[in-house]
Amino acid sequence: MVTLNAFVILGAILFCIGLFGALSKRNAVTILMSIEIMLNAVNITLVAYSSAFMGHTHGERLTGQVFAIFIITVAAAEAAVALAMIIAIYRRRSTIDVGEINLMRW
Amino acid sequence: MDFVSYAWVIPALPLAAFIIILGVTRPLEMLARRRELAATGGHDPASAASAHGAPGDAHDTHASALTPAEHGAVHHDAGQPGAPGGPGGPEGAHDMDTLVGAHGRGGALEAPDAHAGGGHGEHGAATAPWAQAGSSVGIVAMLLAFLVALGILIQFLTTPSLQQHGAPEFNLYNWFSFGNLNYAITFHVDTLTAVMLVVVTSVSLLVHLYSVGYMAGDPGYSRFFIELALFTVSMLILVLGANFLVLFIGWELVGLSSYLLIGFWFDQAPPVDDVPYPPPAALKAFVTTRLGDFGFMIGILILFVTTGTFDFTKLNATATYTHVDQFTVTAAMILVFCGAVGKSAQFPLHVWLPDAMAGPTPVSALIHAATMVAAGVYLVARLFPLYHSVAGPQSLEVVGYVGGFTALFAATIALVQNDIKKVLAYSTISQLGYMFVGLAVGPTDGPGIFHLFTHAFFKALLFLGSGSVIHAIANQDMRKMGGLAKFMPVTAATFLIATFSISGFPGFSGFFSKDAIIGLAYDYGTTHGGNYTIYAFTIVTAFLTAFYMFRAYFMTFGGRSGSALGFWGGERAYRGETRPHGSPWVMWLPLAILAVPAAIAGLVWGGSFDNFVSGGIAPVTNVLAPFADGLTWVGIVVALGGIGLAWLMYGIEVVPATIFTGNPIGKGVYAVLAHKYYLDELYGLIIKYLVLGLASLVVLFDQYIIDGVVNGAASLVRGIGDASRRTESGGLQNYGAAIFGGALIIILLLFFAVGAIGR
Repeated sequence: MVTLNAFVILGAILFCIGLFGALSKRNAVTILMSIEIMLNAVNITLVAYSSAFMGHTHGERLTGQVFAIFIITVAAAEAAVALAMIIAIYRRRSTIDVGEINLMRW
Repeated sequence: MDFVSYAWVIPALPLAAFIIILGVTRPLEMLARRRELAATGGHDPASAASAHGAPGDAHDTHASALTPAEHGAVHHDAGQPGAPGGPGGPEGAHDMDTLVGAHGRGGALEAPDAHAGGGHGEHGAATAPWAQAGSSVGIVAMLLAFLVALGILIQFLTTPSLQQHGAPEFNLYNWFSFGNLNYAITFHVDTLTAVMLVVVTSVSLLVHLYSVGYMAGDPGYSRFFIELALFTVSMLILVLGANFLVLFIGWELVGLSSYLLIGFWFDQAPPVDDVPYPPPAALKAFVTTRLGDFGFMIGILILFVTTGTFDFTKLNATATYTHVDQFTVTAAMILVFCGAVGKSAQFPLHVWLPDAMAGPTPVSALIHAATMVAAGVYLVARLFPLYHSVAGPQSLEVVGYVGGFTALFAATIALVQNDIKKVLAYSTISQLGYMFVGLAVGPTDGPGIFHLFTHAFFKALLFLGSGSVIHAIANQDMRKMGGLAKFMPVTAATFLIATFSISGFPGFSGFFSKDAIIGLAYDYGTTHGGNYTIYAFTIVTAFLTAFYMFRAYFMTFGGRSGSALGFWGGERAYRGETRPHGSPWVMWLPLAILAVPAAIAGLVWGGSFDNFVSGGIAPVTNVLAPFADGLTWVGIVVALGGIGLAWLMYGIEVVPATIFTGNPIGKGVYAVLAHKYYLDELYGLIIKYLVLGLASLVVLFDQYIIDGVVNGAASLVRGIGDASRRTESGGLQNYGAAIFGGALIIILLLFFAVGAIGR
């Protein structure tokens, strides 16, 4: 039997992998992908909690799964906007290395 | 007419003169001078005589042999080839005084110790019309002020109630208030003030008149009268003040005026030897009196902190001190006396007065003889009830011993001085010591103030007389004088009267005042267990005073080959080179006027002065009463002894000075006295090593610690800024990490708060 814990830990691990990628990768697209990973990790956690409480005396709780659908939608929109920004930046600076896109002096 | 309610007019008049001369007549004079220079192209005699900066100029040594009237021409010649830069040239921005200033190196420079006559303006040069207008304004103002002061005195003399309580206080201006405490500029006239007002205004008036003659032709003529007016205002404020605040204002202002007037000839060429040179002398006067002022201020503050008031009436009332420790009051009074020590040139702060002789002689007469140096005596007299009844006996002991010691000390130095002004300067120091002794041993402030009163007149007379001599022969060294009585009879006669007075010759005013003090000193010794030290001080000083004053008289006016047994020397007694001439009426008239109080003030007022000044406390005595007391005759014999010895040595010149200086001990004593007990050298060493040494330590402290703290604070801020800037790196992922880290911390805190983790 796969317990709730396992799903939550999976979500945590995925979140950490995504966070690591978001904070340490230099390629903007890679950072985007990592952010997607983080969002999906959150989805897993939400759905896991939602299915863990199904069939109990208070009735079914589908909140987690509904929230997960919202997140997917938002993630999709955000990915579109982010990619548009990356293309705009590339057209201006000819690079998508986030270390290079820095106007501050030092 | 109620003069007393117009007491405020007295300082207002010279203040008005000050403003008028400063604002109206002097600028007009400068304009006229500029126009004249422009018109003549800078070759008129006044401007060509810019001999400043030319010490030891060979022309000057020849000038000594010429008559005074030719000095102008000599300077003209000296100026022409060497006039630096020309008057209209690059120095056009300077004050005209320095440009046009030949502060006449009036001859007699060939002997190193003959101090040139101070450059008292060129003989034969006339004063500009606007300058004369300015001095006339000053004289008129002083005359009116004197008349008001005289009116006040007469009103006091005829109204017993005024004598007892003084006039009502006159509130001039409310200065500041804290809550219900008001500090105001208040004038209060009582008998002491009335006497001082008359002294100050009369001497100032006569000095003003005298200066018209003495400073004639001097380019700084207007500036002189401005500064004289300023001084007079300050001194009047000082004596009129009803509380310490006003007195201190006057105190500081007279110090400033003294500085300005001593340094009047500030662009005189530096001397080649030890003669007083105006700029450092002025600074020395100011700094030395400042030292005294330090103790003075602390004393005032102690009194204020313990009693809560600056007002003299309250401070002098014993009721104010019910809960004040006597030790505190004694300490405060001794500190206040420190101020008097500085201002009145007592040991050890006396060193400035002889150097102050670098200023013009009328200044010496007014400030350093009659009035400013009397401010310290006035201060102690004003606080006399405090000194006498409230503070412990130590305070008056300090006053008495310092005064007595200084009297003797200065008298010994005066014995060997050859510059006539220096003799008079040390004499002033000595007589001020007498005044302090009088205050210390007297039952009221009467004896000390009476001596101040008589001293003001005869000392001013002596100084003005010496100024007359200096004006005539452009020289101050007594070894080059002699027999001048023939050339300047009025000067000689009045000088003789004043010399008799200061020596305590019976009948003259000085006799009455000095005798009172000596008698009281003897009584003091009797009541204090046979301790006759102060009496010894006074009696020995009396002998020395008579001796050195008559030495000065004989060396200047008398001499062996003259008439009247050496008292009225003739032409053959004259040892100098320049031919002396008489003085104009503006100079000998003040002398004649001053001779009157110098001679008869004692006879007229000797008996009742004490009673008057102390508000009726002391009894009225018969003026001839002193002659009944055997002690008085001791004093008379001593004075006559001093006169006689001086007559033998310098009048008929049968006893040579080598009797005293021939042997090695005598030579040693002479050297010590001539060097003023090496005090100036000692002070120089103290300043060089102690004061400047401490100062360099403080500089190091300032550089490393104070500046270190300030710079360190700045560096700290910079360092924090440096560190903080790294948070604004502009790097995306740094920001991301910061966001995540912050969110983590908040979540952990929430968990702690709710109690989910941690205890």
